[in-house]
Amino acid sequence: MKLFTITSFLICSLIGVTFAQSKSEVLDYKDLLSEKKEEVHYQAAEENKNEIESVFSGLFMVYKNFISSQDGSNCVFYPSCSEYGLLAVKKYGVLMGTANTMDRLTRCNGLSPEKYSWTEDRTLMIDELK
Amino acid sequence: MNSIKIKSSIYFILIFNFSCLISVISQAQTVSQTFDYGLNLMELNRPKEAIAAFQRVLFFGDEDFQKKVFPNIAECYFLLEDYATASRYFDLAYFSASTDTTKTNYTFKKIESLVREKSFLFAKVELLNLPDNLPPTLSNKKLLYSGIIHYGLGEYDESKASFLQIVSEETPQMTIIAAFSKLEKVAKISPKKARIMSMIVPGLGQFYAGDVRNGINSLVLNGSFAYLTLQTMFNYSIWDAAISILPWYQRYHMGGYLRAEEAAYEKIRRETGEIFQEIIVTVASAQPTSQKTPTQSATLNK
Repeated sequence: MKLFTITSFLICSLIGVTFAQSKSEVLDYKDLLSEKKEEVHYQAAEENKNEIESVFSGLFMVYKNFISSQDGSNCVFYPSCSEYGLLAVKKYGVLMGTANTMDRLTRCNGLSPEKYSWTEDRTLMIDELK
Repeated sequence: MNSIKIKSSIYFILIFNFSCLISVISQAQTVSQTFDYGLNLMELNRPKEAIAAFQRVLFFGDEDFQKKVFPNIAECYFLLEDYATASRYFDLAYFSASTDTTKTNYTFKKIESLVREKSFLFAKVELLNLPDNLPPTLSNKKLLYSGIIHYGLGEYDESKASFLQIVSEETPQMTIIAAFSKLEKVAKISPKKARIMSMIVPGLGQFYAGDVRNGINSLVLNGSFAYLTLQTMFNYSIWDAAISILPWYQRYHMGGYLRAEEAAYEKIRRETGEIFQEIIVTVASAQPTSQKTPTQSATLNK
């Protein structure tokens, strides 16, 4: 019994010397270089109150997924012109919303930076729907 | 009027004397009490409040307290996953430490913070700071960090050598070698090639990078614009096409090849990450399941 205790103690201490860290400690680094792909979430396309809003939200999602996704980052504003357009249609209706969107599109050129505040990373000008 | 003045001055003197008496009798929290309070907060897993207490100790305490406070603040930031600040405080702890053992411990903690922050280059510098003659437990830890850091820096041969030294059995060693050989395939993925391919045929670069959905999307979109450009050219004039459709075509064509390059980079990062996961799992499988060495965090605050 004594011999068994001594031998097991020696084995245990040897294991302690051989391994630097436990399995869980090593596994802690497993996801160090894995990048989690963040899903793009468009709040503007949510909570549609009627069919017209649903149609415009659908068109917006099609545009975002199939057309805008193939484009570079050209819009200078936050929120982007498409998001602004959808929000405008939702708030003011189709006619006034379209007019608002047209107005926004004519301003989307970055020629008057002094008129807008900037996002935290200083990449986009803030122009929220009023 | 005079009696009111006398009364108010008597009240003032009484209140003043009373407050002086209270301040003499009662004692404010001492620096060591604040330090203990910080330790208690740490034990209660409230690192933010603990930092505030330790900062007080740092302000009012003498140099001896600095030695105790720096590692604890560093540990708090580490718990808050603010690894950049944690590594800075571990650095201060390193310079205020008096023994080599504690210095080594803080260097390890600093390396851990830098690795988690993905500042592999700085972590490599710290790795060189470690002494050559370490006890086996720590030398294995050093090898693990060396493997991770070299991998993060793209120095795969050095990384492989470090990981192989940790694992002594043949089977996991073979798995690690096989995993590293997969990296040769990843190294062949060229973002530049993807970009050029998409310049020639829109969408081709995305297919090359394994992004089929965006490849088809780019091909269809650019095909439509090319068709519209040609239609306008034949039906109207080349100038009409140049003014109306060509800018759109150029915009999405350019967006397409830039995205193809991005997709290739993403593929490289994803596959490198997957191989790294495989290596770490293999290395972990060769380690004991429950044994945990006494980490610095357990001994730091004492």
